[in-house]
Amino acid sequence: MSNEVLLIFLEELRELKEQFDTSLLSLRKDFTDQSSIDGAFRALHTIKGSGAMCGLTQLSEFAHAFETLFDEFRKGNAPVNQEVIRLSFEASDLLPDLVNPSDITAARSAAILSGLANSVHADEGAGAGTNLTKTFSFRLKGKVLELGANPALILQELRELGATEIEADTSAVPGLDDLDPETCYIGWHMKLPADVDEAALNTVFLFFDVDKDYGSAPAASGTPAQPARPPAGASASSHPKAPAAQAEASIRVGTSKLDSLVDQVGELVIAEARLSELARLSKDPNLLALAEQINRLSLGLRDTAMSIRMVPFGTLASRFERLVADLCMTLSKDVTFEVIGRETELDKTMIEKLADPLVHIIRNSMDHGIEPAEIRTANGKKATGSIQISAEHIGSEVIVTVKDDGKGLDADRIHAKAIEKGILSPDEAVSQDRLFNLIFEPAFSTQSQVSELSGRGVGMDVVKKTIDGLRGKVDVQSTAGKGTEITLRLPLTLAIVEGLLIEVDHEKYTIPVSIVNEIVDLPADKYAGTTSSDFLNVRGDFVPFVRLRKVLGCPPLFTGPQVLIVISASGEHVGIVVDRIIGKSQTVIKQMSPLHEDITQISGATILGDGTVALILDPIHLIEAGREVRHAIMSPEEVSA
Amino acid sequence: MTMHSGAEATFLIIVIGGQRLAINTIMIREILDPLPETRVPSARPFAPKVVNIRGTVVPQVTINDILNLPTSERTDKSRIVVVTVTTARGPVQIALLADAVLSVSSIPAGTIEPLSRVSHNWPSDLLVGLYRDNDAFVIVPDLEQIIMRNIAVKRDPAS
Repeated sequence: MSNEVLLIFLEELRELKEQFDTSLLSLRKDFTDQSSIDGAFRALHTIKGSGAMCGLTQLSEFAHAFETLFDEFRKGNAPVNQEVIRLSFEASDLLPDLVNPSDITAARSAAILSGLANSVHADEGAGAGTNLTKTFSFRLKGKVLELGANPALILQELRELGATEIEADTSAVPGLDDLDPETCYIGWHMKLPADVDEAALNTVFLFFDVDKDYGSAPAASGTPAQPARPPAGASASSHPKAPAAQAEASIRVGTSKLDSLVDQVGELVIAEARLSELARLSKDPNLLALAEQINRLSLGLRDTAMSIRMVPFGTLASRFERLVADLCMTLSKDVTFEVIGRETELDKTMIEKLADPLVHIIRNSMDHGIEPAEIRTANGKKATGSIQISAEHIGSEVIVTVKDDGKGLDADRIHAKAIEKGILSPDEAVSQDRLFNLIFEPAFSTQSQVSELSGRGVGMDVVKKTIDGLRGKVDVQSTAGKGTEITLRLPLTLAIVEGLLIEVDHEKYTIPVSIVNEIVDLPADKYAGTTSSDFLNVRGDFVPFVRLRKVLGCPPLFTGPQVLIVISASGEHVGIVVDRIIGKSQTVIKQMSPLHEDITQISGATILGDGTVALILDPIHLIEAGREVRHAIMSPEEVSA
Repeated sequence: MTMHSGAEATFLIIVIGGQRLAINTIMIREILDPLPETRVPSARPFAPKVVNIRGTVVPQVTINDILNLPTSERTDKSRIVVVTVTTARGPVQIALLADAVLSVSSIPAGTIEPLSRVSHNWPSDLLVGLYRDNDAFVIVPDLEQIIMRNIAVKRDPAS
């Protein structure tokens, strides 16, 4: 088999597995949900077919055997229960492993199949003992009598199938004046044994136009009749559940092609900037008009290309539903998981990179945040815990929040730990906010004790590292006994940002416009200045500032007019002093070479309209530099006070 | 850098700091006139600047210091040799600043000899070897080694 075919199959398998999981998750909430059973069945069926096509025998055989057993649930011959769901999830996990079959996978599949067979047949035995019946009624339509039908013969045939308590329904018989002797106005109700299937009945009515109504009331157990099961063919559309799969026409495209498309659009945006520059210089009206048109087109193309990279948050969230379901079983906790903002779109690379940190956060919430049911009820909370994950766009950022209603972080113990680790001094006053954010310190999280006492810490530095890498921010808020909320703030896109082009010592740099708060002229008395005077009162707000000349290692002795850009990130304001502002520009972010990856001031580079490279300043580094200035200013004052 | 044993290999002969160097043409992407440079703050002297090579931001590398060669003067013969070096970290593209590009020559395998530890001023661990061409030595730098060393070295915060 060619590698290409296998790759396509693997991609398809991943999607089908997701579909299967999604169906199982909704089935878990309602064991009788026919559309979920059908969904799971369809996914299995496709896996079987494609697997066989790719020559993956063990996979397709397993899918086939599983499907055969699952068919019993689909036909309603055996009820779905918790055990079936558990086995199905196990099967779902096994599917990708079966691509590389081994003795282990063979043993696992055998175990799952025998478990499922037990579930199916255990119920069959019980059904046979209680001798279920179902109601059935029919009414012949049209001029059947004219065509020679004899209802008495039909009833005789039904009796042979085991029909009892046959009653005539004469409610539709009209008065004598309206009576058409060729029409059969009488309907019949009866009880049939539960094992009489549709096919047998269809044979009886083969030659007649007939209204049939199957009830499946298990009369023996006395439970109320279930709604009639829709005919098999119509089942897919019968229960319009959550729109699991949008029916928009789509094609499958390799992500590498997508990446190269975005790269090329990036080049185009840069080339277009050069063209506009040249057109402006030439003052040729024809060229200017053309450049303007190309500008419009390339911007449109950029937007489309970027939107192709966008993936709804829901695709990521459905993976966590599965995670929570699994953890509920292993931890014996009952937790409802809610996703808000499934439709919020994020860059595909970001979605991929977000999966790991979110798994860490959710696992922590499940494991340590949510208390066992008995403690929850004792504390006056609902026995069922809740974890909520939401994604929304705010400005040019995406905010992803994970919120639980567990016991919250233990501020006292984090404080104690921080002092023990030497991160805080014992008499240092610290805001709760800062305290909670200590859980992201790497040294903090490696201590297993912290994870026990606070419930957080395992892998939390991984979360911070990943989010930093995506040029985002993590923030944690927690109320003891009420729960914890972790907020991730991420840039909307990784590839193209709106940049503010600035000049420092005849060098050009770019900063993302999204972090710029305001721009003010630096007062003349601050032109030279010393570190202790490096702050500015911006409308009552005390803003420490850093001189970019110093940060970037340019000659610092510069006493000409300068501009202060106030940038803000997660509520912190820092000013940066630059020589002048050149303007806004579309910034296509280029990675720095491995030879330069250790340079903290720079987060990337971009190519300007004239073909030169401008470096992109790292906002996180600037904020941290500003924080140092703030401490340098504050500490002498505190000493004197 | 790997040598192809048996057959002869093609090398580009360039001059850096007055010294002739041979670089295997397999690694060479293109040769360009000097481009506008952008200084990278607090970068090592090895790769102090970046240039735009057809839309890619590539570090411009000066290997004079590393090979104990005299500093180069920028003249109208100066060229940028774009080289893709396969390293343990994956391919790394660099723009090598050369005083001049001389020629392309085929050198039979075996002509290039490893350096002895004595009697020369070059760091022998950064060279594949050298050969004699009309009474002058041509050195073959080990670019992979040179790059790996500069990725690995942690920057001194003071520098």
